[in-house]
Amino acid sequence: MNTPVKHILFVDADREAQSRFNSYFDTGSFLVYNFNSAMGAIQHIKESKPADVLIINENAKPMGAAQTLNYLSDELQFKAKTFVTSESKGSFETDSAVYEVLKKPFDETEFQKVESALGYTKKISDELYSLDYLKELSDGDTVFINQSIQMFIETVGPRIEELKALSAAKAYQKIAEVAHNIKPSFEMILNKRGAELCNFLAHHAAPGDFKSYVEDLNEEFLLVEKHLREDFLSKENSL
Amino acid sequence: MVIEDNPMVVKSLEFKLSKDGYDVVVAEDGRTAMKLLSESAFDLILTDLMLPFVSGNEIIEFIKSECPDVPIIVLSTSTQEDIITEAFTMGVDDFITKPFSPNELSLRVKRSLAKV
Repeated sequence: MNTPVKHILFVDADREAQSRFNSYFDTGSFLVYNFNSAMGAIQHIKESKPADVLIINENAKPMGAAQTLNYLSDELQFKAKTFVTSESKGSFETDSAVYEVLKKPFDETEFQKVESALGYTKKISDELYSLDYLKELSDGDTVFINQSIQMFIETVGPRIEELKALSAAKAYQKIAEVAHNIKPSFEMILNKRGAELCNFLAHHAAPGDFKSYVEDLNEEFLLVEKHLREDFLSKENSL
Repeated sequence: MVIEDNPMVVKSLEFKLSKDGYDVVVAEDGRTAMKLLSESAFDLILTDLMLPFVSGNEIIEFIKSECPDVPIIVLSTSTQEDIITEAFTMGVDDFITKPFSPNELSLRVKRSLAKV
C-alpha cells in the first residue's frame, strides 16, 4: 500500500525524547523535522513547507507551547493536528484551544496516537480487535461495550455488502464515501488493518485498486466478526 | 446537537456527553439536521462534514444562517485537512478527530460552551 510520506514537526530540546521519537518513526513513511526551539518550526510553517502534524513541548523555547500555538493559529492560520509533549499533564489548554498530550517518556501508545492522527498505522497488528478504547470511553461499562460490539457487527456488515456491490458497479466515489463512514467503527475496536484498508479506499485508491481492497476488507470484517461472536456474543462469554 | 452518520460514533458521543451531563439530540444526515435546527434551539453543534444528502459546506452555511452564535465543533477524520481548513474559514470553532479521546471531547465541549 503506497501511503504518502507524512511530515512531522517535532519541537522538543530533550535529546532523549528526540531519539526515541525518531527511532520509532524512522520507517520511510514519515519525515521528522527536529527543532530545539519553536522558532525553527515557525519558520518551516511560514515558508509553507509540508507539515501534517506538529508536536511541541509545553516549555518549548522561546515562548512556551501556549504562546507559540496561539501565534501559529492566529497569525499563520496553522490548523494541522497538534500534540503537546509533557511529563505530567493529561491535556494542554491555551486561551483558545485544547491539545492532546504525548506523555514523556514516550511509550508505544503515545506514538500510536500520532500514527492515528495521521490516519496511518505503521505496523499491521496481529491483534484482530481490542476493547481498550471502548473501556476507556465508558469507564468499563459492560452494557455499553456489549452494545457497541453488537452494533459493529450489525452496522458494518451491511455496509461491507454495499461495498461489494459498489465495487462490482465500479462506483468508486461511493465506495470512498462508504469506506470513510465505516473507518471509525474499525478504529473503535482498534482493528488497525480494517481502518487502514478503509482509509486507503477512502482517500488513496486508484480505480485498479478497489476490487482487491474491498475483498481484503470483507475478509478482515468476517474474521473480526467471527471472533467477536465467539468471544462476546454467546451467552456464556458476554462481558 | 450531534450530526453524524456512523452509528458507533453516535453511540459513543451520546454516551460520553450524556455522562458529562448534556442533553444530546442526534441527526444522522444533513436534511434531518436542518429540519431540527429550524425547529429547536441548541447550545452547541458537533458535526461531521461528510454526511448523506448535504455537503459539509452546506450544513455549516445553514447553521451559520440559522443560529450564528452557536459554536460548531467539527468531527473529522485525520485525513481531512483541506476540508477542516475550509471549515475554519467558514467560521467553525474547533475540531476533534474520530475516534475521539474522551477527555479531549469533554474539554473541547466545555470550552466551546463557556464561550457562548
